[in-house]
Amino acid sequence: MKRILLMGNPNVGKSVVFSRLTGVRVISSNYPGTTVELMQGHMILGDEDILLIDVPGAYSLDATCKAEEIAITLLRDADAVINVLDATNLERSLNLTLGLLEKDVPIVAALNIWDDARHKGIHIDVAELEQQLAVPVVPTTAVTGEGIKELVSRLPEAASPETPHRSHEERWAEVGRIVEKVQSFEHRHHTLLEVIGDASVTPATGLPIAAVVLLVTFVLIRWFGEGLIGYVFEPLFDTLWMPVLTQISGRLDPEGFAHTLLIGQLIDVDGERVIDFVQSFGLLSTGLFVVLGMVFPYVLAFYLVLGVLEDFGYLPRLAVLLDTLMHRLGLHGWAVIPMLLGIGCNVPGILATRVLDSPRERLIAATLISIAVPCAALQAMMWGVLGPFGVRYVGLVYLTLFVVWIVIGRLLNGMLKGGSPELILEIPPYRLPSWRAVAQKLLLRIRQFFREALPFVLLGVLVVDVLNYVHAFDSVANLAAPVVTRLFGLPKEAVLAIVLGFLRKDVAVGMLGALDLTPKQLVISVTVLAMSFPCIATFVVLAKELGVKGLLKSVSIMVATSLVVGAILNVIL
Amino acid sequence: MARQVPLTEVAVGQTVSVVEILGGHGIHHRLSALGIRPGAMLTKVSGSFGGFGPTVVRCGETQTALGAGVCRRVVVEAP
Repeated sequence: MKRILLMGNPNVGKSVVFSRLTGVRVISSNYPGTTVELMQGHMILGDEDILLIDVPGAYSLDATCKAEEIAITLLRDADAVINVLDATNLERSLNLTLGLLEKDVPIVAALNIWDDARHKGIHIDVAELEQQLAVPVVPTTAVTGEGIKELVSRLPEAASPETPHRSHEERWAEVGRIVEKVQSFEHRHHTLLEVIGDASVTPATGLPIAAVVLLVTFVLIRWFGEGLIGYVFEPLFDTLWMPVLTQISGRLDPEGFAHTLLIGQLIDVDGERVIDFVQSFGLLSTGLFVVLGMVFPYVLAFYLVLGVLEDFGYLPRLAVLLDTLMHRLGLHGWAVIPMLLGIGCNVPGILATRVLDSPRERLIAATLISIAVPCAALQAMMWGVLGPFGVRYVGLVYLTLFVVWIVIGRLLNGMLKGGSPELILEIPPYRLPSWRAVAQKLLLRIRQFFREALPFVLLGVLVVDVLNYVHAFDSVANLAAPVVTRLFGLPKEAVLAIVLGFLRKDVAVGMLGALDLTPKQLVISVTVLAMSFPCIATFVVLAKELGVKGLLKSVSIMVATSLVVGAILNVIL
Repeated sequence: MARQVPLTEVAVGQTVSVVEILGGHGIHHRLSALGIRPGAMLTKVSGSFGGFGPTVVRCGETQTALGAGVCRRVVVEAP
């Protein structure tokens, strides 16, 4: 099978072209380094099945970073390359193109972001560029699909013209010569987006803008999440699902295994024994309700808002503004982006730490994410369980996690050898998000959520039910009781919830919610749960990204911190 | 002859040309990939905040944020 590589500078839209060509939906955003893994997909050309590989962005082929090393290795057995160029940034794009031309591989060039170039008054003589490079050049706007058909139809023309090997200086000189020939500018004024763009990286205006953006983001997520819960999901569960469950419950022996498993315990409300979606803890009651009625609305709200911010191009600007703060933690501003992704789910957050330069930074960032960045699922449950007691309790958990984030970051920065590297970060222009792209990305992330959440939440509920049924609950709880009761001031049953956190944090908080704890106990247990041990999905990804040694380091830090912080909270609250 | 200064000393809004980049191959390389290399024209978009934080420069159509340490190594002069 033929192998075609998609290559280009970071943030030129390779992943969007990839989606267009293969139909495989991948996450793309408006900042460099969105793609950290190799993505593969198939496309049919004529009657040939072609393997298309989306290569992480590279500025050159000199193997200065991991992405570039990967690119060079892949080039060795590629049959052709689709080189994606940024039409608004021709000079830099061409440097890579000339590097590619020196390799012995046929090339087609896609001159992407063509619509933006037009709006910016950048004129590129495509015919002339084609002649200069001696390979096919097709203007494309991958986001709308413009030019993609032509790109495909010209793939067979991919060419590998004889090109001399150039030194860096010679290559840049050649780039300059070509750009001079093919590109001209129309005089124009700053657009509004550019003015806002500059304002949001200048500290005096940028910090207030950041504060407003973050506040609005938070309010929007809350409003949207709570709205979905209050007006859509709770009514649906109460009016449609409850009667079904009541029917099932009526036909089963309330003490029997099937009832315990499917419906859970009946709860006393005003002398009547009824099903409670939060406390009953059956697969069909609490299991489904946690995923759909409590967590999903927040996940949806979070990813919708994040998607818009990402595609608009705001995140790199936040990275710039927070650079100084992040240096104190041994990171640089760029690390803000993995942290933000971690707020959705720790797994993509930790994967995104790959854009950081050194193993030291990756260890710090990944540890900070899994210890002090609560995922959306955990936060949704926290609002659901702790929120009714008052916003101040929820705030207390956030405050504790923030303090831990800073303290652990500073400690790690002081203890680990090496320093924090300097920031060199390209800031993409603001772009108005395409709603189609935002919707697609949202859909993709929701699918991922259900694939991961549903099985593990149900498994968690199952474990609790089985332990409950065979009355093993107490013996498990007794084992760790001294730590939990003396150190944290929690009832021994809370142990199981904390252990259950290894499966899924949301179902674990759900269990805490069913235990009749005081607000203080809830604050302590939720905080400990958030910090103590990663959930299984995060655990696997940590092992993959940090190696076994890094994982052990990271996990011991988590366990130690949660013991200390839990005990401190128990004393001071 | 125009005065040569590190990029840190350039006022916001000023356009300057790069004279040289002090330091090893690595930094040379990363900056040149972003268009920042001897002879290139840069416009400073925003400065660092009380001595901390990155500087943002525009070079062609690319905006890049540079940490203070990097900035000190970029020697520029007013054209």
